[in-house]
Amino acid sequence: MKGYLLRRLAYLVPVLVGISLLAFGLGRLAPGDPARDVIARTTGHQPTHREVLAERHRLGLDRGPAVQYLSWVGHAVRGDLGISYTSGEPVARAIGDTLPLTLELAAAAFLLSLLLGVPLGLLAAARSWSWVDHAVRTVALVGASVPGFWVAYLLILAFSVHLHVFPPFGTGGLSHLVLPAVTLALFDIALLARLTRAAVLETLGEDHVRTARAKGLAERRVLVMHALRPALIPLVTWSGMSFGYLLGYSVVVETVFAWPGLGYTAVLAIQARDYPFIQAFALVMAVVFVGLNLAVDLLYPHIDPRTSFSSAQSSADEG
Amino acid sequence: MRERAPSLQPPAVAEYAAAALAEGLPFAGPRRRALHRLVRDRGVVVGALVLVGVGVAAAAAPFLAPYAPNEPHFTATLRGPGSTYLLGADNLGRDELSRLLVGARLSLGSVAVATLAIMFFGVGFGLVSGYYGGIVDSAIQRVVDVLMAFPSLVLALAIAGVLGPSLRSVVISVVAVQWVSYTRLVRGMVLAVRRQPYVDAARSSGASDGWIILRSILPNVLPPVVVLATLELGGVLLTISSLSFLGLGAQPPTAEWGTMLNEARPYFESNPHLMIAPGLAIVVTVLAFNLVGDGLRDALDPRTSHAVAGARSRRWDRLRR
Repeated sequence: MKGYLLRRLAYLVPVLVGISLLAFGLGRLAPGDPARDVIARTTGHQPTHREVLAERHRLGLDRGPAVQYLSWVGHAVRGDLGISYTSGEPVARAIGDTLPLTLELAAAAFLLSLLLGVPLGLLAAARSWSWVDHAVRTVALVGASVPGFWVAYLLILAFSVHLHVFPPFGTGGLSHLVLPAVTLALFDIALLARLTRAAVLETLGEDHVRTARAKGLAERRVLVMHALRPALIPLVTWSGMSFGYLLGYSVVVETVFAWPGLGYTAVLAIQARDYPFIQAFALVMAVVFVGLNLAVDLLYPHIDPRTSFSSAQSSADEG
Repeated sequence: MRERAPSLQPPAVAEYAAAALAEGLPFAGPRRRALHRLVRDRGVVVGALVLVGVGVAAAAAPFLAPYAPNEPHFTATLRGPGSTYLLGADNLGRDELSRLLVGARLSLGSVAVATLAIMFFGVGFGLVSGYYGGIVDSAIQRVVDVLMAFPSLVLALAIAGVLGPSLRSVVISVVAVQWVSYTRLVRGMVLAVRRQPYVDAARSSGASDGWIILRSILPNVLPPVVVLATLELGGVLLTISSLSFLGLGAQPPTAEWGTMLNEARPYFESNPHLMIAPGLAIVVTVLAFNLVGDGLRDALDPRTSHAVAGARSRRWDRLRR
């Protein structure tokens, strides 16, 4: 287990270097001269050549790209992600304030998709080719084809404007979380329902399920303990991919619901051409995503006994 | 040596095919079987018909649109759907239906351009990576690792944001992020194919690397690539419209579905029709892409086909009773 962890961490080093290179390179993709930009923005007048040179020096832009990169990474590792062009405040502080809200939203959506997607898929598999199954599959297909931001507005219209059940914008209690979380979870609910249905249909055909049925277990027990449990293993892989979707799409959902997380703040930063913030946003999101995937990988042996190093536990069958 | 097995003689195959066709049986070839499954899949047929309809509407938009897409009708500002303006008019009094039709050209065109570019780069790097191996392979794969370490929409948003708002930067950002999955897929298949006897045969008969890659290997990796591309068409449209919706795509007054949704934001409470029409256009198109993509995958991979899964579960239903 320890060796595996070390190998996994060693593999991460080049990826993290690559992430930082790409995030740094983003700033250099930007058209125009950042120094000129910053002066024009803070003072409101067109800068003289001398002012531009001084600002370039102050921002460290007169040094070679390699030196700039190393300095940027050196600071980033110590938690200094630069100064925002717009607010003049440390980017790291803004990210520290907003990232927890994004993670809260993503976690809520993740739980919601598990709680709705898995049972829906199981239901569809248990009643396969009945009207229930068709309904679930249709909902899943439509759910995967609908733009989330559009659904968000429909939800706001229905539940905030007409029914006054949930607040349409901002943060606050649990009621503020419901609509954004549902919107963000929608795609994953659809995907998970399809995955669970396919996986359960597959295991329903296997011998151990027939054995379970032959010894007279209740159908519900067969479905949940014998068909669903092995079908859940691929869902761990799914969850890793799902984090990428949740973190990415949170940007859109947060913008619609004015949810002051990292994604919404990043959209505002993009509109303001605040490059240090954009770089930091890409870097932090990638590091979070890599970290979550690492956690999933380390969780794998605990969920699938076949990949564990401990003695093989037989999948519980106390029937 | 004279007496060969009776099978695999070309005339016999043709005879069997003729007989099979005459009897109305599916042709024996896997491709024909796949085609057969495809045309019998109701979802595929419906999806394909919808796509043809949307495509024709987009192509003929200049003739179909009742008004010019950017022509303001000041008396019609924010009018609801009615007989003069079938889908209503927006905040500048522009006809919503005309904008929707003309906007389809940009929305679908950008999906097509992005998907072709994604396939070009993804397949190209995958072929090179798998065929040459060694340091070229490692270099390409490290780049793929890094790109896959980003949540894809985050990276696309950052790239498009830095490049500055335009439909072109949105397409570039989507291509920059999405080609990697094709590279992984193609590389894996090339590794499996490049030791095949026909590749050795081509090489020993003096074919160049380029010829082998393009003529011996590419045709064998292309079908799964086409399936993946079809499955992802809907996703590409959703991503492009999401970025346009955030204001990074086509800029007003250009008519494009995502941009139209962005422009409708301030009016969604009072004039929901401005949001519903472009949204429905996206939903219907993505749904059609997904129906065709799912059907294509099922047709080419019978293991996952509904028929197989259905037969299996029905068998269990019978046993249960």
